[in-house]
Amino acid sequence: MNRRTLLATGLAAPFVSRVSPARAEGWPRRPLTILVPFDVGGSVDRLARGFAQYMPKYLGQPVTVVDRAGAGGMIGTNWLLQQPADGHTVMLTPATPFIPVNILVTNARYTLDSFTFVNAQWTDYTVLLVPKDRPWRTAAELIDAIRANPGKISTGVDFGSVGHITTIALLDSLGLKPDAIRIVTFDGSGAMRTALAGGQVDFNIGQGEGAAAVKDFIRPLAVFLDHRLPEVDAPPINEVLAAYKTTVPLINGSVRSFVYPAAFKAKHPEDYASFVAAYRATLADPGFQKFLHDNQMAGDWVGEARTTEIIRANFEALKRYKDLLKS
Amino acid sequence: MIDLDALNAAFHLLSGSWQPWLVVVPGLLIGLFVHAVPGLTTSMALAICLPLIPYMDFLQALIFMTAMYAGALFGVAIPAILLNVPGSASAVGTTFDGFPMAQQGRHNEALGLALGASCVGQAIAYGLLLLLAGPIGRFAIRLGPPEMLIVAIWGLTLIARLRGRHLARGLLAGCFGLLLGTVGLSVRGAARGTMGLDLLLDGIPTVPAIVGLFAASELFNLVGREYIVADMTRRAVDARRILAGMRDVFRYPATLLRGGLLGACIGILPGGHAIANLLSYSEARRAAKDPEAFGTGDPRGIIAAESANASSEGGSMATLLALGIPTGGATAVMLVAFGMHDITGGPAFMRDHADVVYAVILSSLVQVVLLGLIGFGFIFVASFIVKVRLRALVPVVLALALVGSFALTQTMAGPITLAVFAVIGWLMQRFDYPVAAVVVGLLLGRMTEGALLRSYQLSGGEFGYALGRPIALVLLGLLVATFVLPMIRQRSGALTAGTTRHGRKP
Repeated sequence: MNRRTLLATGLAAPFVSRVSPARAEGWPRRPLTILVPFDVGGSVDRLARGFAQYMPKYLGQPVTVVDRAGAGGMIGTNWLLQQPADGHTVMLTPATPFIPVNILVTNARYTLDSFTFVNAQWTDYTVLLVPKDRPWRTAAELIDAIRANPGKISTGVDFGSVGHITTIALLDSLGLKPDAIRIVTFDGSGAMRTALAGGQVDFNIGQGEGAAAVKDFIRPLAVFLDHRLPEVDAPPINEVLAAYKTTVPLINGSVRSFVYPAAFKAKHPEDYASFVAAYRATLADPGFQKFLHDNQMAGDWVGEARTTEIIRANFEALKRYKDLLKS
Repeated sequence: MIDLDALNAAFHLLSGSWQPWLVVVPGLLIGLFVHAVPGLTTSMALAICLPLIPYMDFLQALIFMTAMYAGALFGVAIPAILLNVPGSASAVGTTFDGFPMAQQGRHNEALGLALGASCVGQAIAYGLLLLLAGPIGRFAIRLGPPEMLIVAIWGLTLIARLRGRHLARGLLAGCFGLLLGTVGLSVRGAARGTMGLDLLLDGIPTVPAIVGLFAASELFNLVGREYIVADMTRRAVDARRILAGMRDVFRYPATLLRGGLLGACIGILPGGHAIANLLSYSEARRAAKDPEAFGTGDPRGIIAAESANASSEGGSMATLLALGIPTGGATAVMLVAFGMHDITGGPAFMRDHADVVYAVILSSLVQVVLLGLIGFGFIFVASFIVKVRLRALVPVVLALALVGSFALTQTMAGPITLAVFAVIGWLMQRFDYPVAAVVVGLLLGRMTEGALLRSYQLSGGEFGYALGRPIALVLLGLLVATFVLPMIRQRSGALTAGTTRHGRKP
């Protein structure tokens, strides 16, 4: 069912408060609009509403949130690029996988160079899961089962997601074709997780945060990171794959970041710096930190250079496997 | 099944403080009002109210959200009956008999019927939840793509029943709807029928399309008329007749009960609550001795659609409360409220907070009674629409529908869709093609295709796979039986009639 947005002004009204007198000159000259290219109520939307509450203090202008969902973030992203490049509209989005997938799979009219990626503030991880009633206790047992029963074991994927691409990459690293398993394509990650919890499919590679909702029904077998996580009882996948003398590229899950059209920073570097300063001050704000904690969100600071690097690396990994997606 | 200690604790939670009750009436009213504008949805209203949630305690927040849900569930029926504009997919079935009743001047009764059926449907659903929340939830996730496919096909058979006067035109319209339903990005990432427009990648926005089809096909027809109700003497707003309508619900207990149970079962399927009303309508029509009466203003049509719609949400609440898994947009937003209170959904929630679960269910049963009272006042006021001249009403309704469709899509895609489908709807009506068949195709096309594809992917193309799925086999058996049995009955009926005639011949 659709959860499209409604009257952004009405939504944001409660947040337009605590505004200190706007500076006479300099940036921003107008209220800042945070564009969320997804539905109301999703994780990025909630994060954006946190910024709407805490950022005005450091920006000197009110902040409103606008949700423009559609086509895997592409509708909203196109809209962002149509706005004047004066920095008064900024997008908050899981920059990967959505922007690379828009470009590689759904033929978006933009490229990575169209954007400035401000900061990978909140990153999700990818994890290999099986329903609890399945016999496999380790990732190696599952891999051996796939090899022993080609074309019998099923997985659920959200088409074009990081989990889907990682699934293909894992098979590829083991010298297996996509038809070595039954790939079932679901409408969105929610439907896919329900199917996993119900044991409709044999395994799934997906995002850790989402999996928390169904944690009582599943068993993690490996994480797609280069280290263990304290909260997940499973080894890094490449430790498992060492026995098979191979490795798999580690593609990040959702990397949530503010995103500007590249033209803004190019034309108005000082204004961009003003945004970054206000953003960092907000990240350091105790009230905002409490908001992040209450909502189980992260407030990392890694900077533009590292964020762009992460997104490019993800893009290259996605590009390598995208032709295998449709097979 | 009932954990009596938890039930007792729930009574204490609810009776110990008046605070949880404070939010019920505002919740119901918000829900009712939201659906006064076609195109606004329950999940939107819930999302808008999310910022209020941290200021309530957890039980209060849940009660507030379920109250909003309850109000909205019935709210959609009002424009569906009075104006033939279903505010969401879940009110499509209500228009079939609701609007004809309104046109005949039986709007009071029709609204009363809808309210009564909605209250009883919700009561059935929450009654079931109280007894069986855990088992229902565990059963729900056993339903996979093959089961979904059979339910979807079952829904599609409604097309043949909505055929209007010409079977061929009905089937053609249904196929047209199915094709429209496949527009957009398929679940395997192929863009189809988008004509290169990004806006169509998510498919045709269904609610603007439905509103366009229905509004145009009926409202434009009324252009020559002065009022919705042609007969002046019947153009009254009468509280007694609304009450009579609410009472009349109980004259058709079989329809009511079937709708309520069917809705609850279908609601546990992902996306099921949108089609529960259609399936129930279809079943009521099939079971009736006089199916031709449906569509001409038969009370049973409203009762079937509304009771199923109301109880379907109980089904999706079951999976939310018992498993922490949302099957629809509105329950997904409610799960966010869980997060805001640091409460994780899932079986642990049912185990550790059984008192809260029972308190929510109990309060929902009380809400049903309150909905009856508040809804009664609400429809009394809303009924005055029949006193508005159509030359003022039609433009206002269309303008509101356009605004609503923009709110839904946040782009011009909504209003454009509405306008395009208004033209299609008018043309179809003009040439005697059933508009409702297109709507059913459009609503079910995507679901059927997805379920079919996933069944194929999951089974690896092996038919033997179905043998390992007893639920699917039972559903398939039921589906076949609903088709074959009437045929056999008809045949044997004809035979007996034939013998008798022979017997009488000397």
